[in-house]
Amino acid sequence: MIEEITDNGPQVTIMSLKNVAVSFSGKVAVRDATFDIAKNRVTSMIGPSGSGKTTLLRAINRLHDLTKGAKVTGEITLDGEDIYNGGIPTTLLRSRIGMVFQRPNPFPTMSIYDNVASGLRFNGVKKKSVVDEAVEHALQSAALWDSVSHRLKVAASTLSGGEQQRLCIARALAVEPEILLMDEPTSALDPVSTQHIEDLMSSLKEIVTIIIVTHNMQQAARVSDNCAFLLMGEDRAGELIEFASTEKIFTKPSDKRTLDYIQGRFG
Amino acid sequence: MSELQHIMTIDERREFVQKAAKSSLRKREFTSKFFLGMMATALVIAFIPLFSILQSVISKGAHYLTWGYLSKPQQTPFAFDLANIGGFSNAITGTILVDGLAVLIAVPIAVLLAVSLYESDGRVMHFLRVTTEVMIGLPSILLGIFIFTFVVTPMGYRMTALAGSLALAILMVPLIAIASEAALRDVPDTLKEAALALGARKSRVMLRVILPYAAPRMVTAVMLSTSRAVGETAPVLFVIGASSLTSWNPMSPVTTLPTMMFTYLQGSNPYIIKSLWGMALILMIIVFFFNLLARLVVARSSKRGL
Ligand SMILES: Nc1ncnc2c1ncn2[C@@H]1O[C@H](COP(=O)(O)OP(=O)(O)OP(=O)(O)O)[C@@H](O)[C@H]1O
Ligand SMILES: [Mg+2]
Repeated sequence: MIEEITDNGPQVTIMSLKNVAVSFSGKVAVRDATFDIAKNRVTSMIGPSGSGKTTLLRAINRLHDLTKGAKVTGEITLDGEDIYNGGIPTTLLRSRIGMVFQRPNPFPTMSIYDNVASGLRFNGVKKKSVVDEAVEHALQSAALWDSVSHRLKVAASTLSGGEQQRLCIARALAVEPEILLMDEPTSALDPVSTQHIEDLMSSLKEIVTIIIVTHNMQQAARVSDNCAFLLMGEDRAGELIEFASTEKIFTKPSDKRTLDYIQGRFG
Repeated sequence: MSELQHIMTIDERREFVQKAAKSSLRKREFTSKFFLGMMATALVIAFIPLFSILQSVISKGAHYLTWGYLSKPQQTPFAFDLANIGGFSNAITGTILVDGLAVLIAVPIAVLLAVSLYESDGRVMHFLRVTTEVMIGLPSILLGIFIFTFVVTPMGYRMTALAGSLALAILMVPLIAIASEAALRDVPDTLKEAALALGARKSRVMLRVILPYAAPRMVTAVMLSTSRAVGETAPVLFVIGASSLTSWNPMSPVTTLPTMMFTYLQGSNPYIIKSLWGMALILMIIVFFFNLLARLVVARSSKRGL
């Protein structure tokens, strides 16, 4: 449990990672990940390339299940329930934990509307009035409604890269997930689109818990409440070095390596 | 910086690289012109026979495109009236019936096979894949013999349009399945992951994301294999029988354009031999319309999703 009181009130844990490790065909990619995710907060994961941030993120919605040779050990709980060994069906888990990928990946065969509606339809929601409302609401939450409301039926591929990424955010939000995983969501975007998405995150906090991977230190400092720093160990396996409030990580980290990294001395 | 022996200064190396680039540019200009020439020659060589075939089929076959030839079935001319050969209607309906049924049988099986090849990686599937690939290489007459032995004979030597469709379906299934599997494999992983991350079941990912993405290429595969099947003689010759009646009944014996052409070729009536051009043209038109139809289906289905 995170007990620290911050200026926006006490934090409630929604998810806990305990000694989480991921290996591919026996080769460890990340290990020793133990930290709590606070509800309705933004948690960032930072660290150099190859330190296992993406790998850890994908363990949280069980995307590694599809990769042959991938093995996740340790324990991840959502609302106290073990997501790997508990009773939550994988598909249900994934609809409770949305994901936004590094590169915008809207479904090219679907319209803007159908992209946003896709998650609902995958999960068996058919009622048009429900879908219509969810689509509008999700597009509004992703700050995209005003620019696409008059062309919902056009192919999603006609949108700009930044708009496509916001469409993917809307698509993830439409199923009303409790947690939203974002893997470097702005790394392919220009500063204006990046700004849009960062602004979005602070408003989204009220409805969803966000875990974001980013290479952009200022972004982590700006948007996140808590921060996990990962680094590759001797054997090139990533491990959690430090987890604390973002403020602490960026002002007085307890590990020397964290300090070196945020000051840009390696990575 | 390093212990390497420096043999050039940076400026020297830059000059060296630029000189090399210039001379390779000259060489490349030459090679690109050379290959352009080769391509043009190859194109001409490929198109001369193609165009001359097309040209002679059209010029010699066009006057057979009359209502009389299209609507009347074939007819054995009397010795004193060799020009009275009837029409082709029985072979036209036979072709559409046999090939249409073959597509209807082959497509669902081929798509299911492609999906299973794509989804699984066990030994059984490996065996199935190799078998499928080998089947593409089988001489098509074998399919005729196979259907004759296992379908026609048990039914009391009853020759039917359906038997021909089955033979052609066996010909088409591996062609469509292998090409479709390749199309499925080309669907970007990021799209699958996006769907799974939204909580989609595997079957939904397949139906809503993977298949719609691969559909245009799969339809192309169906088109190509159908065009191939439409022109086949050997697999159907012994199993559909022959009939000079126009029939839409799958359980009746029929004649297709290629089998009728094959039989006509063995006669000696010059009017009949000449009419082969007309039949060839009609066959080409049927293939053309089928492809057009398939393209329309793709254009619509890829927009809407399956
Ligand atoms: N599917 C996989 N199979 C094998 N190894 C993998 C796989 N995915 C990731 N890895 C390995 O795991 C390690 C961590 O990779 P990961 O993508 O998690 O790093 P990252 O911190 O996200 O890096 P970046 O900042 O560059 O995105 C790398 O050494 C990578 O090669
Ligand atoms: Mg990554």
